[in-house]
Amino acid sequence: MNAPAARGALDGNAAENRETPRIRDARLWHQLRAVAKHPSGRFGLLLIAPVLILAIAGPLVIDWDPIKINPSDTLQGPSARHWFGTDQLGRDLAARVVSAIPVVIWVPLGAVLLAVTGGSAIGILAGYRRGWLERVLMAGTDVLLAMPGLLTAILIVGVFGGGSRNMILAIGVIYLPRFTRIARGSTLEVRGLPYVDAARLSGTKPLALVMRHILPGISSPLFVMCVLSLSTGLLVQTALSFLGFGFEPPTADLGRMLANSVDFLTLAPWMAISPALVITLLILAFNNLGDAVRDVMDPEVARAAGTV
Amino acid sequence: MKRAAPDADSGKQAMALLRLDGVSVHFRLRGRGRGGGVVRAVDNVDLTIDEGEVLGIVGESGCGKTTLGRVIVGLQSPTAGNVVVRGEKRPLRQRPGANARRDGFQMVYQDAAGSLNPWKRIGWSIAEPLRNEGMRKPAMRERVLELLDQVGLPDSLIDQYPGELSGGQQQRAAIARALAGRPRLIVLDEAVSSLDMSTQAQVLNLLKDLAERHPVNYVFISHDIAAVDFMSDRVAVMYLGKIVELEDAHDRKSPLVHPYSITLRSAVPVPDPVVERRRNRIVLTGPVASATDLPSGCRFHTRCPIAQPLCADAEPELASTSETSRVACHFAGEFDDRYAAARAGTTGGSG
Repeated sequence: MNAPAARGALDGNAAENRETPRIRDARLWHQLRAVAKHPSGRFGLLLIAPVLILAIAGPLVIDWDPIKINPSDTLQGPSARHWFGTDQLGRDLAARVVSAIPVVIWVPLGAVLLAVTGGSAIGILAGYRRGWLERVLMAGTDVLLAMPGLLTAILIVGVFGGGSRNMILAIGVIYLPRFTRIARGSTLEVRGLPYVDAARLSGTKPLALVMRHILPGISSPLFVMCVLSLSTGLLVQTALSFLGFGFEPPTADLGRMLANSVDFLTLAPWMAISPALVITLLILAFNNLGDAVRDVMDPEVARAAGTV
Repeated sequence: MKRAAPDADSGKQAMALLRLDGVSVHFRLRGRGRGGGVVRAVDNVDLTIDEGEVLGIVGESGCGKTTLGRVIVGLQSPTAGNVVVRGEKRPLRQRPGANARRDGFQMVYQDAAGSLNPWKRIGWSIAEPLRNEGMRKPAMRERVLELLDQVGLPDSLIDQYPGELSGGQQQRAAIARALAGRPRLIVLDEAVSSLDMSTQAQVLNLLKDLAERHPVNYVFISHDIAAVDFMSDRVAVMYLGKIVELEDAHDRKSPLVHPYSITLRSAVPVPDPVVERRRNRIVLTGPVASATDLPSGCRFHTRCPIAQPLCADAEPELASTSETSRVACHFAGEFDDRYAAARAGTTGGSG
């Protein structure tokens, strides 16, 4: 770092150093570390930790079978025997919550990955090729964006059936257009930058141009959108389950557990508390992480600093 | 600076590195309230660049000089006219930059920070043309170090990111990348304008040195006529998309004669306070005409200090008016007398 400075003193470059502020580090790993250090990021990680610990350690310490009915233990409050209590069929809520956690993490994650992959591909294609292709792709995107998200998701799982895979598909599809729009907008911005032109003149072919120059340039806003979409994706997933479009009955699933608890809310409030707590913690965690990621990577901030 | 002095007209067509024949770039405006207007960024430009010369293009912001530079390297296709490279016509519609490797044309941009990918190390960026040629890694590193040395950057920069460099260093790195593929022609688009004065001088000297050591041509685009004079063998003056004056050879004795060229030159301060204080600066009045709504006749007549009624009616051709330059002005060579007369007229009228 100091070698150029030493030279700068010799040939008068020292003056430029004052004018050119050092921009923030664009490398992903450094940005992730900055997210972990950000107050909101810390808080998010703190919230997500107990849920992850529960999901990993739970099956090892809880002996109850999440789907086994125990007629003698119905509607029990939290106790040493049943930590989170039992439901109207005597199933252990701790075991059920623990077995349901992977779904509420993997489904939003899978859906967001699907949406960001598909959306970026479409958006980059539209922004890079322009012309009629762009108009067709963006018209389709606008149609998808105009449809109410939850209803579209219900339509998809209604037609194809529930289960993790179809929920990922449904949520992925309703989240696709927002990524398409971001990818297209950022591509339009980046494709005109001098370094992209320079790459063209250096003989870089279109595919390499997109992978080496455009994709890194548009990755920050997409990544920010990913993290922000995780929490709403989780909400959509639990809403689908709550409405009965999630998994077949014996399977434990937080949305359906909440729906079940409605009839017993005065008699056995603990039936609602443990699934609701997990959902709340995860959403708070994702939102806080999203805030941190946005602060660290937001293209506006980065642009002000000269990165983009 | 001049190496192969091209001999007037004989055989010039054959040895021209690049020829623009009636090149126009018109952008159609889209969207609400813009009424489908057309921006004539470059309008019917003829230009020849010979091997071994530096062509300077000077003009104010928005006069189309950057667009002309982009047409030359092939990033922008002309909407009319032909680009002929070493006698071969460039295809009209092509992927931007598809011709670059065959032609060996490169560009250095005004925005030094923006011309290097911020996510890649300097060495990676400089090596990009080499990588595309399929050069092997060890040879590539060797060549990048050689290039860094040529542009006066320390070896250690090879593994740094653009954000860690100063503006001057970034511009040197961009020049190194432009040189990497041993280009025939580099378009320098306001390449030093964003740097501070001392760095500008260093980079200009560096460019001159490089041209002496390599068989490379420059097209030096700038709004700064002093820098253009310093760099160029020949100067083209652009105004609103047209070349209004084109030198055939740059001998510093015969000055530019188009009223716009004279005005540009008069804006350059003289580094002698006594002369500077007494000097007559020509200040343009009148609105800057728009490239969407060009004035009738000569497009400079709205601001020209010596405009006559004729100028609003007839557009002057770029005609040979002297041994050394072609000028698009009805009254070329009569500036001093007419300007003095015009000034006498105004002062006489008001006093």
